Amino acid sequence: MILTDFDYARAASLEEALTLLAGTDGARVLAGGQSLLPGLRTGAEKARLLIDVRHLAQLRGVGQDGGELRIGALTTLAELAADPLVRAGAPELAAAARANGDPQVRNLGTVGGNLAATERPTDLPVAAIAAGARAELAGPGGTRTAPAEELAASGVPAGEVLTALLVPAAGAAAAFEKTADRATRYPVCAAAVRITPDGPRIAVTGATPRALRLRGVEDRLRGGPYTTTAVLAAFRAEPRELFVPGRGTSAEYLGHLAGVLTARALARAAAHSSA
Amino acid sequence: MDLTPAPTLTLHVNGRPEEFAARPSELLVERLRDGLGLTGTKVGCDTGQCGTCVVRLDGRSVKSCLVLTASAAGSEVTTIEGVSERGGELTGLQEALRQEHGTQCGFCTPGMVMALGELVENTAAGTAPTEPEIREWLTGNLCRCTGYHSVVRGVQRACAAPADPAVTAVPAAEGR
Repeated sequence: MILTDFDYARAASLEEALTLLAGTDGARVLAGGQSLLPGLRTGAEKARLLIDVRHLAQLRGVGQDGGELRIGALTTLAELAADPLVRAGAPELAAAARANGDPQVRNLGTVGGNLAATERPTDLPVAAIAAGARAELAGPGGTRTAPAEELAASGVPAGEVLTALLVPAAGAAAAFEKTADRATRYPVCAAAVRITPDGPRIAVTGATPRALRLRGVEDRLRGGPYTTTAVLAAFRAEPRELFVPGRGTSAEYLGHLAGVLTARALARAAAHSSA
Repeated sequence: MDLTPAPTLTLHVNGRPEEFAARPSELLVERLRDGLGLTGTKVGCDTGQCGTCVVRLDGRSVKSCLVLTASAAGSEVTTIEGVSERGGELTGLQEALRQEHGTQCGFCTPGMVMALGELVENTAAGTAPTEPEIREWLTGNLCRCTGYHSVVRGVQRACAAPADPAVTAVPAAEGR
């Protein structure tokens, strides 16, 4: 039972959702509801109106335009994990989708909801950052894009709706690794990497306050080789304050774990890039 | 706060249309159990972790404590009461779980059957998911009797069903 009450409106179009969002204090967008509904129950989330966009079919599905994948925000995590275009062009995203929750949560949980969640660390933001993805946001003034890194830093701005994730489909040289909390499946730490001609792009979450791109680590590893020793040394050079101790974890442990997961991901990505 | 009056919703549950009024914050599991009396769907944690409330929503297995009734309106819902086409008879999966002793106290069983039904249906005929695949699929279903081994065997038996006469033709007298 949800102990707070709220209004519910099923949006018939994206325009209607934006109008409702602009006109109501405390309005929240409801997509799959897999983190918002438990959040409302525990009191971690508040809402006076839920605007249900789950049925807007035009925001769902994966397409490819040249070198870019367009992933509709209402694509479910199950669909993302299984999509052949995503598996070929952005394997770190497919792996992150699969690492999320459980089959039932993946059947309803959406790309947009996972990227927009702020209460707990989720898996897609690091993969989106490592992939160099951009978020497509619709607002009263029209549609714009923002880097995935910016979305992870400040969330979906008030009054806007996340409509798609635009991902460079750069091939197989990418990977995702995660250590999940045994009970909740949320990441204690997750790391995503993509090896580009300019060097590796590396992002970490769970161990850090939010999903972060680690440019210092990238600089230290540019040119390779990505041995475990080199990666762990690159992480040790980061300021200790970067890692936030959690339930039963110290900053030292989390820094080491982030390095180990990144080293594994780089080893797999590098194996694919030379193949 | 002025809440809008509860609107009339339609849900197709186990093949039957159901019309009712529901408050906006009502969860699907509350409608199924308290509104429609379908108490085979259980409530364990009420926060989306234990999986004993799993039902099928338009064919996909979902946790009914993580779905608003209003958002499900217009959809097809199948609960444990509706899995068997011929009322009272066990499905192949249920029979295989019974034969492998895949239930202990039974509280998690309806959710397990509803979740595993999707896995079994999506497995090509004549093949069976591997043990790691079955265990991964069970991530969202907690059994505190910890009877997972027998559940895994039950799924493998169910997938092997066409070649296994013990599943498809159970003597009527057996085990009764």
